[in-house]
Amino acid sequence: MLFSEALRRPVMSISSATSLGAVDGFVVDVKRPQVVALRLAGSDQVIEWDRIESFGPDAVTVADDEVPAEQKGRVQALADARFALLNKRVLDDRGDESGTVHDVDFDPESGRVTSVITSTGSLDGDRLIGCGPYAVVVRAADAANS
Amino acid sequence: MSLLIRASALTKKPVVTLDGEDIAQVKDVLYEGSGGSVIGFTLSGRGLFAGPKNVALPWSEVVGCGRDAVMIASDQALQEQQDLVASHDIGERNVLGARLVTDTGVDLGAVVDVIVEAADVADVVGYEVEASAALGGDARNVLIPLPDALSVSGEALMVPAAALDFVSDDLAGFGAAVDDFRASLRGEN
Amino acid sequence: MTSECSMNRLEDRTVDWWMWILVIIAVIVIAVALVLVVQSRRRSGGVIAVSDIKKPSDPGSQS
Repeated sequence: MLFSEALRRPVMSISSATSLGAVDGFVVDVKRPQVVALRLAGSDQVIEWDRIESFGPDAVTVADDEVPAEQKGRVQALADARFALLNKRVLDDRGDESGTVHDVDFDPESGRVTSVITSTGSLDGDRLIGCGPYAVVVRAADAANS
Repeated sequence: MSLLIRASALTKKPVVTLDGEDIAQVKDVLYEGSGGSVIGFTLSGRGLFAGPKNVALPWSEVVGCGRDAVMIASDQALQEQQDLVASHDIGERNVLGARLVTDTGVDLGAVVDVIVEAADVADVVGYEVEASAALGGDARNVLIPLPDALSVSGEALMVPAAALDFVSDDLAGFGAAVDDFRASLRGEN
Repeated sequence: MTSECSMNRLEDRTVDWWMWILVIIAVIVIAVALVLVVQSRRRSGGVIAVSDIKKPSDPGSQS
């Protein structure tokens, strides 16, 4: 599933059958590479991936609507806007740029990032090395083959 | 695989960690005056208000040096500038603008750029000079290959006159010209 | 005498209070522009031939 498809999908609580908000963004840990949390529209809170019951075609469901008071440290750190993937320049470990991130494909079951769609093509999620304020760093194409 | 780069294309390039953070940009390219091997870079800060930094980046810590950035593993790769090079060497020995003179005493012109061959080890393999009368005198810049051992002082750079047989106009054919020139030097010895 | 006095009065009238704000803004703009130019010159570098290389011998570095 693409980030662009999952955006604006409502997040529903199973226990209270209320909507907690719409998906507004994704928190990705590029080291694994894995979607670790969802950002909600109009809120600083994020929904951690392990709270998600199912990523359905019309709504994302979570077991309960209670928002944990304390976010997990690593997720909180990654939720910083500086680590957002979308629209960031893509740089390989040789120092060559190849466009910007347009979209990200992920597995709605596990949250694993399968591929990254850039302005110049798409690349495998396993090639992600890091993501910082300046760029998303990926393994160079040839190095990935060898 | 090696890649020929103009040193001027390296300066101002961002230095980016594998975590995607631009922690500095290249200020000076440092190379060993006698052997031509690239030692590393001095660095400046990023941003409009930033000035030079006290840390330097040794070439051995460079993970990738490409068209758009110099890649390093982390900010651990940087070291104090004094540990890499004596401070009195910097600021006085900029070869850009120095005269290039052959061992037969012909002034070839002012060096406008330095050609670096970047691989696991980076080497200075040529100078780009503003063509003087000795090189035909038209306004083009020409690339002059260098031998393995160089001679550099504060005011002038020396090259063997034989290098003039291997000049080229652009980077595309220059790698072969350097190889041919060095092969011919070895043949003579 | 009289002409000098009238000129002084003329100056007093023309230099309004808000002129000083413009002067201060202009000074700030010039100062910022100067800093930008100076720092961009300090950031730019060159190609340096080093005569005596320091070998990486400090115990802190691992290579």
